[in-house]
Amino acid sequence: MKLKYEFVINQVADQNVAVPVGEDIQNFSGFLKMNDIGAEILEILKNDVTVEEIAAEMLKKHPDSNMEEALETVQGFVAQLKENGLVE
Amino acid sequence: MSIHTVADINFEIQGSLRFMRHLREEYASNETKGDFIIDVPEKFSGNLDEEGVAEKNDIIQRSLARKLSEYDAILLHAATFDIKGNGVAFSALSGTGKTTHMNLWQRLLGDRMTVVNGDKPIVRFFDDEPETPYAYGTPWNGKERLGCNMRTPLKHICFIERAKENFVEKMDPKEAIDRIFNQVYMPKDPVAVMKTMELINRLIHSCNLWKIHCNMNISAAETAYNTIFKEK
Repeated sequence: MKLKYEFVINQVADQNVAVPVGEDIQNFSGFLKMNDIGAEILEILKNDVTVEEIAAEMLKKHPDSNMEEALETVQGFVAQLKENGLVE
Repeated sequence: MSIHTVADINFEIQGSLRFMRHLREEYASNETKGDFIIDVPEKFSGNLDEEGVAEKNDIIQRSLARKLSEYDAILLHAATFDIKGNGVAFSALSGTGKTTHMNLWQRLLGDRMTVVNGDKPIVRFFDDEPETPYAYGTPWNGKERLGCNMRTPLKHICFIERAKENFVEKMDPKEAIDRIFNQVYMPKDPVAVMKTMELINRLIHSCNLWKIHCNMNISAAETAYNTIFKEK
């Protein structure tokens, strides 16, 4: 799976805000607020990856965590993206 | 070809401005050249029904809105007015009554208050006053056609919510993110989106942010005005 659109992420009031860009956006015209973890996952999702691959990548960035925790976080975040039709 | 100035931005319009009286008259420019050209397709040059006029209006508005970030400016959906050099913007979901509430303030304040724009002002920053957003009148001033070609330094952004009791809460920038993002025209180009987000960030850090819970009585305007302007 990967992101359907390109996203621009910027800090607004100390929050990461992501806005999808491009002329072909039809189903989603809003924005997403996320913490730093979410922004990292979004970055990884620019490539075609599985949930397990994202979790493994996140584990490298956050070695204090464990695979179970990483998977749970990634699955939760990806579910939100899917709900908004932002991944394919 | 005609030249127009909106928010101190000069641009040329190629095509007919029939049914666009505000733009044609109030925003006509003395300049001889615009920074860019907005094309109005030929099909909008003849007679138009209400829908056609709205579509034509939209094309011009969106064409300008796409360029705004290059001028440190954004198109905000808000009813905006001036009270003796203090700009106030009322933002709300459509149908919540921001125009009604603004009219209550007008009743309360009379000629101390001037409506800048009833629907879609442009908010612009300048390098020499980096913390002062200026709200400008635009030709897009809502169905009531309230507003004029002027600007005011925007000091207060108020998010209107209907309630039985009138009260006002101060908000911090973080709380305002959702509300403000929903009311700003977002371009499609990545560079312009990045810039627009920076400008939104500056805007919510430069203005006082308020949540106004109000009914539609004149007391709603009194409560809100007295709280925001700290009058006894």
